[in-house]
Order: sequence, then C-alpha cells, then structure tokens
Amino acid sequence: MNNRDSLAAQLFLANHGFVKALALKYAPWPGLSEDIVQQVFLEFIAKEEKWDLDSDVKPLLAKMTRFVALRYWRERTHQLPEVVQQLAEHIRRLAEERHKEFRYDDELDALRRCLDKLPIKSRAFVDLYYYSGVSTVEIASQMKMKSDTVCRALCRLRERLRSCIDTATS
Amino acid sequence: MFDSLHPVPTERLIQNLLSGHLTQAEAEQLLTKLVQNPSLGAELLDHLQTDEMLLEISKSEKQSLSSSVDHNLLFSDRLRGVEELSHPQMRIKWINSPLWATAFAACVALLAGLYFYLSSKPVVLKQQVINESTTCAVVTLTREVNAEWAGIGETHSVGEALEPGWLRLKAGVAQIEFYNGARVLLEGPVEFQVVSAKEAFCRSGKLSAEAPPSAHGFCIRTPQLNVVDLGTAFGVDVSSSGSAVQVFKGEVELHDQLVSNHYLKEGEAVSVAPNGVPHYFLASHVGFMSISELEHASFEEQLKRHQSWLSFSAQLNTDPSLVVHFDFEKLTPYEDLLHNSAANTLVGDATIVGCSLGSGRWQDKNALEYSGVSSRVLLNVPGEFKSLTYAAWVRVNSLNNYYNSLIMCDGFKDGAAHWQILFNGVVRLGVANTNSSTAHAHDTHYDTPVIFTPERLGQWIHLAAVYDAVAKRVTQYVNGEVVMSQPLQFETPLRLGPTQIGNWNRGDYTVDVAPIRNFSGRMDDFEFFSRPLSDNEIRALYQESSPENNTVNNPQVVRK
Repeated sequence: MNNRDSLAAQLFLANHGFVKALALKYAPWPGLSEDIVQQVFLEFIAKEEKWDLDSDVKPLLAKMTRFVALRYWRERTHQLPEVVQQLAEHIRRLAEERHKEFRYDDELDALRRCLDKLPIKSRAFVDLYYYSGVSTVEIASQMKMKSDTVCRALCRLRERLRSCIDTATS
Repeated sequence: MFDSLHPVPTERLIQNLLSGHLTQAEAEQLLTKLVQNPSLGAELLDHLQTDEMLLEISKSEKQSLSSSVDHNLLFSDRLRGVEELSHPQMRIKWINSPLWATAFAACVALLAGLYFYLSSKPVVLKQQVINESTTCAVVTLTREVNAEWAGIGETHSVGEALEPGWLRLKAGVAQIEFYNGARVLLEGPVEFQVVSAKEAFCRSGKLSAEAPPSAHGFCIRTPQLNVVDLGTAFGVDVSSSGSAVQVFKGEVELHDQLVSNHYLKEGEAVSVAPNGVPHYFLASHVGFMSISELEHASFEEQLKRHQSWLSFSAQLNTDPSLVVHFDFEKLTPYEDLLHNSAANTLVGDATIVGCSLGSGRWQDKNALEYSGVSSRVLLNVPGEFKSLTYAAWVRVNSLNNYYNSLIMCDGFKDGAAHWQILFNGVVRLGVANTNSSTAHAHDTHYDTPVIFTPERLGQWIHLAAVYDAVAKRVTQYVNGEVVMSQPLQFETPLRLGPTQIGNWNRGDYTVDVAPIRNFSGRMDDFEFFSRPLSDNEIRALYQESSPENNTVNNPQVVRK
C-alpha cells in the first residue's frame, strides 16, 4: 500500500457519512445505500491516482455517489414488479424534493445517545429486531402479541428516536 | 384474504417495506396512501433513514463485540473490514511489494483502526465479552446438480455455510438445509432469499420444501402469500402470473401477513394471482423434483464427474513435469503404501502412517483421513527444483496447531519449501534460506489472506501454490483463482529430500520432544510438478477435478 492509497482511504472514511447521506437521498430504498457507499469507495480508491487529494474531495465524492446511486437504482429497481417499481420511483421523487438536510454523522451520534435513553421494553425491541435479526413474526410469537402490534411498536420506536435525534441536533 | 383492497395498517406497510417483505398488493396500497397523504412521504423517509442508522449501529456494535477480545483478533477483524472494501487488484497491489511489507501492516492497522473508529465511535458495550468464534450462517448447501448461479462471480460449493441473503440459481438444482432442519430444493431459474434460520422469501421460480417437526413454523414468503409450515412437504411456484402452493404431505398455514389465516391440507393446492384472486386445485408432484430424485440425479452426476476426472488424471500422469501424483484411487483399509501415479518420475511410492480411509470428494472415491498427531505420509523426493507447483484437494476438519502441514520436507535446511495452513486460516508457502553467505539470509513466507474461516471447515477446497523462478513470483490459488501473488524475495533452488505430507519431522532425533504440526482433515488428491503451472492450467486442474461443475469465477478470499 502506498501513501496515496492510505490518504485516499482516510479521506473517504472521513467523508463516509456525507457519502451515505447522499446515497440515501439518490437511492432511498432499503439495503441499497450500503452497497452504493462500498462501490463509491472502491471506485474512489481504484482511480486514486487521478484525483487531486490535496483539495476538497467532497464535490468529487458527490458526483461519484450520484453516478453510482443512479446506476444501482436503475439496476435494482428494474428487477422489481411494476407496482413496486412505481412505489420506489415515488419514494425517490419524494427524497429528491425533500429540503431537510440529512447530516448522517451527527445524526448517528445523536441516535446512539438516544438509544441509551430508551425504556427497557423499547430497547428490547431494538435488540431483538436490529441486533439479533429476529423477524416481526418471531418477536410477536416470543412476546405473545400480534405481529401488527410489533410493527406498530417498531414504527413508534423509530418515530420516537427521530424526534430525539431532531431535538439533539437542532 | 388475498384481496388487494384489504386494508393493511400503515405501520405494517412501512415495516414490510423496510424488511424487504412488501407484497405487490401492499406496495399498491402504500403508493395510494403516499399519494393521498403527502405528509406520509416525509415520515416514510424518516423511517428509512432511522432504520439505516440503526442497522449501522447494530453492525458496528457487533463488530466491536466480536473484536474487542484480544489484540490479535481485533487486528484481524479490523483488517478484514478493510479487505471487504478493497477489490482484488488493490489487495494484490498492497501485498506485492516486499519493501512495503512493514508499512503495509502499519497502514492497514491505521486505516482499519480509523474505519473502525469512524463507524463505531461512542460505542458502549453492555454485554460481557466472550472470546468465541461467531457465525451468521443459517443454512448449508447440501447438494447441487448442474447448478449455475446467476450472480456475477456467484458460486457456491456443497457443504458451504450460507448467511442470510439472495440465492439466484439460473439453472440446475440445489438443495439447502436450514439450521432448524427444513430442507428446500431449489429448481433453477429461481430467486430465493434466505431471511433467517426459520424464514425465506421466494421472488420467482420453483421450490419444494420438507420440514421435520423441529422446523414447525418454518415460513416461506412469496410476493402474494406466506406459507407457514405445520410439519409437511410442499411445493411453491412463483411466476408473473402469481404464486402457487401445493401440499404433498401434512398441512400448511397460508396468510397474507394480516390476521386472516387459511389452512391447506395434503393434496390441496392454491394459486394466487397478482390481483389476489385465489384459485384452488388438486396438488400434484408433477413438475416438482423430490429429494430422492435429487439424490439419484446427484449420484449420477458425481459418477459422471468422477469418470471424467479419471480420464483427465490418466492424461495428467503422463506429464513429464509431474513428479508426484497421489490420487488415492486404489486405497484399501489395510494398505500402507501409497501409489505414485506419475508416469515419468524417479519418486517412488509413499508410506502411510497413522491415517485411515475416508470418503473422498465424490461418494464412490477414497481419501486419506488425517486424524491425529501421528498421521503422516512419508516419501523421498531427490534432487533440486528451480520452480515447482503443489496442488491438493483438502477438507480441513480443524486447525488445532499453529502450523498444520500440507507438505513439509524434514527439517528446515536451505531451499526447504514448506506448504502449510496456519492456525488463523492463512495458507503459507515458506522457503528456507539459511546460507549466511548470501545478502538476504532469511526464511521467507508467502502468505495468502485468511482462507479457512470456520464456515470453510468441512468443505472440499482445492489449493495450489506455484514457485516460479522464471517469472520470479510465488502465486497461490484457492479453487482455481489467484488469492495471492508476490515477487520472489530471493532465489534459491528448492530441495525436498525426505518429506512428509500432512505432518513434519524436525529432521533430528536428538531430543525426545517434537513440535506437533499434523494436518487434521482429509486429503483427496495431491500433485507436485517440477515446473510452474500457469493460471489457466491451475484453473483447468481445479475445474476438471472439482466435485461440482464449477465454471464460474469464485474469488475465495475472505469476504463477509
């Protein structure tokens, strides 16, 4: 590994949140943004000889992210049934038209703090669903409740966390 | 119950969207709601962003938990994190330059540390840290016949432990076993997502499933319906005209993720059109392959591939550069001599010590089982070699020792070439240079990235190492693909002499204690050429000798 490799990787990592936020804006579909971030990283490192790493790399990363996100969006949504494609396109337009800034790194930090403030029962939902990968059907079975109730609880939980994040970052 | 107009609560629609389980009918409903209620759009985007961040936090905490035990583990996991993000060319570029070897380690540690820090900064561990290996795998690929995987570079081997994710089978048949005991037979073309050890999603294609009592509640989702097993055998066929379920044995529960349930008994079947309209009919096995049919087809395929290998092997034995070829074909339980099949060689047969007979990479083939510290094969290889190639099929049971020998000549004299697997799953070709009169008097290690992760234990893997004095490179291969390539650090003629396959003799008997370096597992084929085989030759050797029909590139270095 040469010094430029190291520098390019460090610069990317320093802008990871910026890239992730853009990926979510251009391709707002579950599971897509992480693939986009990884691909941008690979392309950024692969062509690092071309970049002027002494200047601000944000504009370059923004261009690359947009390009990769649009490519991935086309490829992935093309495989979906027509009605799901329509839904995806509608959500993409909503994200594109949204003016609210998404400061990924700041919000991630805030979210960590917000998680610590959650009541035990809410935290149990987070642990089961996000940390242990238990499905809503299984959580319902374990907690002896309807799966709709679990879905509602997870939605309320995210809304609560969102509100907490907004307060912390405002 | 299959009515697309049946209202589904918004929370469920959002949840199913985030978890990837949204049906077409639900997508239609969510779209309608979004159009009718503009404020819902902002809420949905908030859910999406929060969900992504929660997933990232859980991922980084898991990494932190699994890697905060000891420094070595921490470093290797961090390194792995960076490797996951690096493409093969870049990885090789990093490894190539010996001058940067030290800088490499330092920079990777720095980078990995930075990446790790950035992605997991104020993490507070709330659980007690336990030093044990972990896996995310939930199913095993147990059988395949003419399987062609659709993804670029996607291929899977029998015995491979698979984590949740997509399996896209273009053609052929594959059988997977969930860790709860459910067996699913996929018939290509099929798009199948393993969700957990109890749940899967079939987007398109045909499958049949058998679920024992331990798998009660096993669920297969399709775009139109969910099938929950109640101790049964059933078939699922998903196409653009809808989803069909046929129950061959027992009973299944069908539901649309809401409240209304419906039971389908043995001999009954239902197809559900994309608009949700059900059509009931009688179940029939016709069109679905049974497990026993797959077993038969699999055995036939294995016989065919074994016969094909025997023809290739006979041709290979006449290669003038082939010094040693142990094919383990004619082994018997009482045999202690291992026949060297190479036709043009001075190296004779080898002696088997402490090994037993095991089944090979095909059901009707033998292999040598190394099971203890005494297991070894002894041979004598006279002469010097400017270049060489080692190749072997191995099925590693465990990595009990710091060094686990593949082939090692006695002692570590000048020019000794030791091929071994380290405790951490790295495959190493070590070459000794003990001649102090040279400028670079040292032993050199040519290491692969981690190859043998816990998931790879118990699988047949093809390994090859090439020491090329002409190109001045050492290259190692896994399943026919290059996993490392480095320039020679110094040139020396390679000498083997008294040698052991699967063990090591220190070369002197002056003390009673000897290091334990035995291989633990099975070896099914071993070749030693006195020339460097090319990339294409190694790939051909792998493809011709592979137990499965693998023609797709399969970069086998560690990945998530």
